[in-house]
Amino acid sequence: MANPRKLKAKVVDMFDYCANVRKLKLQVEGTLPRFKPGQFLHLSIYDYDPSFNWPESRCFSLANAPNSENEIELVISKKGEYTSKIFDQIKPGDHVWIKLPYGVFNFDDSIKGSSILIAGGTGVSPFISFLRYILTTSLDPKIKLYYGIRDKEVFMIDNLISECISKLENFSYSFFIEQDPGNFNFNYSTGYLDVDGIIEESKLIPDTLYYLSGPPQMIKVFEDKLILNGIDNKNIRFDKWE
Amino acid sequence: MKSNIELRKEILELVEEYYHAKFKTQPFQPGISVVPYAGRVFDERELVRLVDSSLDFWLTAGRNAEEFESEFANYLGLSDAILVNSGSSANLVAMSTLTSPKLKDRALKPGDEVITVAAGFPTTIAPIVQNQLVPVFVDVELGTYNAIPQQIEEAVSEKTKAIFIAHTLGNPFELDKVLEIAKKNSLWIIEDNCDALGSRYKNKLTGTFGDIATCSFYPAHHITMGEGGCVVTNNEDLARIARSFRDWGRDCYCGAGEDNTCGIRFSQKFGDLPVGYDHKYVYSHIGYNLKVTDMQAAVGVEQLKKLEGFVAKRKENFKMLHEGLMKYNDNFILPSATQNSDPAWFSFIITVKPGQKFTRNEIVQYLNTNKIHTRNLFGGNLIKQPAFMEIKKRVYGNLKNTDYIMDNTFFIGVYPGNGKEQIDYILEKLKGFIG
Repeated sequence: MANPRKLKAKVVDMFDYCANVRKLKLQVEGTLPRFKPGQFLHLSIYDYDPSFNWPESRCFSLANAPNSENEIELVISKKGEYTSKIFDQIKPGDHVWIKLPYGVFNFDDSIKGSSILIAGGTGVSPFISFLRYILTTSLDPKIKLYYGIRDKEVFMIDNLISECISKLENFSYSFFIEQDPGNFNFNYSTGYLDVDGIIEESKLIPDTLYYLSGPPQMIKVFEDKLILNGIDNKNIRFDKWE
Repeated sequence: MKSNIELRKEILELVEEYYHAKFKTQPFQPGISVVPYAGRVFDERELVRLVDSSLDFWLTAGRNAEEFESEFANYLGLSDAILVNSGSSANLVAMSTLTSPKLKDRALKPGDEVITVAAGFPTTIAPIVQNQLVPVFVDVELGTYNAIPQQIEEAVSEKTKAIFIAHTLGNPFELDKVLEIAKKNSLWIIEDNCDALGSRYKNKLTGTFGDIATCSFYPAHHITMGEGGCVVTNNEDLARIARSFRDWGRDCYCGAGEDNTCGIRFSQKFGDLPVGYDHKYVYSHIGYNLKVTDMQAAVGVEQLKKLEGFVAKRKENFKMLHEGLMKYNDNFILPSATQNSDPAWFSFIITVKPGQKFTRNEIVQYLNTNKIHTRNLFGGNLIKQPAFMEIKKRVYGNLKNTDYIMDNTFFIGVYPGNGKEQIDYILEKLKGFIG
């Protein structure tokens, strides 16, 4: 974990995927510390005064690759009082405070081997960062992304997936959409992420690393099932906060 | 009534004015002015930032510490810089880090050996002893004053697990050879970079070669924050352990005034503690509290911006001294840079050759009488110091050069507070002494 910094950032863009899922693009003032795909930040809508404690904040995964433009992208899901305030009070041109980078959920090991990325909803954020990072390199590790969403409106990675398909030979995906989308740009299954199917499929590849990101209940179910099916604990990585 | 922002601005403007009133540079007066071997070099920017930080009244490590750590890591091109309250503390943290159980079979255990030198500063050795490890002393080379690689190689035993040596007075040790020995024998390397900030070996900054390195910001060093030091590494696992040792040994990495940075403060399981025991009070190491205050760091932030200029001035002063003293080659062993290195000299080190009409102590007394400050090469032969005589240790060979240094070596200043006038004065006095 590189030295964390507390920085002021300007909201430069917003995009609503649906009523309760929003992408925020921030321009950081000051030197953005080096971060790794998979790491997270704290965002506070309140002003930080260095004479006092860090204000109330929430954790969000970084959803873009490390870059030199001092830009950060986050995907925010409205889940409670604080995230509702983010939706209601923050608009382009406003300033927020962030501190970063944090977390050991990273993909250092996956670059060498085979990885299964399992995301539910906005839990796909760290994987966006990872895949974007991979696309900036000459790396092409074996990656399969399983991504489950409620409906097609919150599918936020059209362009990214198209680029991965065209540029990464070892990339593959399976998408699960609860409400049948009708027409959709990619192959998909209707319904929930199929944990048993994923395990069955992935067991064929030894030493696979499993990355879990999504709602805590989803992570728990997957973690338990993976262990029950003989997957070594050290090969399971997850990203969750209280 | 004025706002706090207006008042702050006024205060800082006054501080700048105060600096010029209080610290105006005095002209050098030969024989009256002191020629220090080292000292703080600063201007109004350090003072303003120091007071600015004090007005935050945050007191412990805060925004300035964070900025310094980030900028310092960037300067070195490393992932992590961990500020501590001195270079000696940095050495303690670095050595302790390598004893962490988190390193599993690579962790140093009591009785393991660490190769080092006795011609140096005591707190390179002290952390080895404090961690119940055994220092193994090898000799140094006269002229570079660095560990002799062949002796390091020959001193390695089955118990040897690390090499912990300094780039003596800014002169890089033979990194290629030492790294090769470490690789061949799976040894950790701690670079004591306290006296060598800004030095380069094969165009790469010292402090960036080993597994972990240390720096000092005491006023005598290349940059200062009064009391201060830093542990640096490109290994994020070692960095987290080092932070833990610095911060009471705790597992949590929240900064001061922060809670639940990890986002899982109440949902983890450690040792025999109940699940969800507050992570803020979970301890994974027998640690210390070695943090800096934000006011120290504030000075460091401004000093760091001047580092390259300070280094250039040190090299310039060194060059003038070296050229001026070349004619005394029969009397002195003059300092020589390690091959492939570009030292940011801490000082100008001189050894009196055998058979002179004068002793080291005589010339040193003469210089000090003429207000030219000198220092010995720190502890001389440290194993002859009262504190180190009885420690558990192993000595490789006879430390012949180390003993010679103890009796015959001293150094004078090249710090940026000195300039041509001071250097000319030193040369004139030395000429008067030697004749």
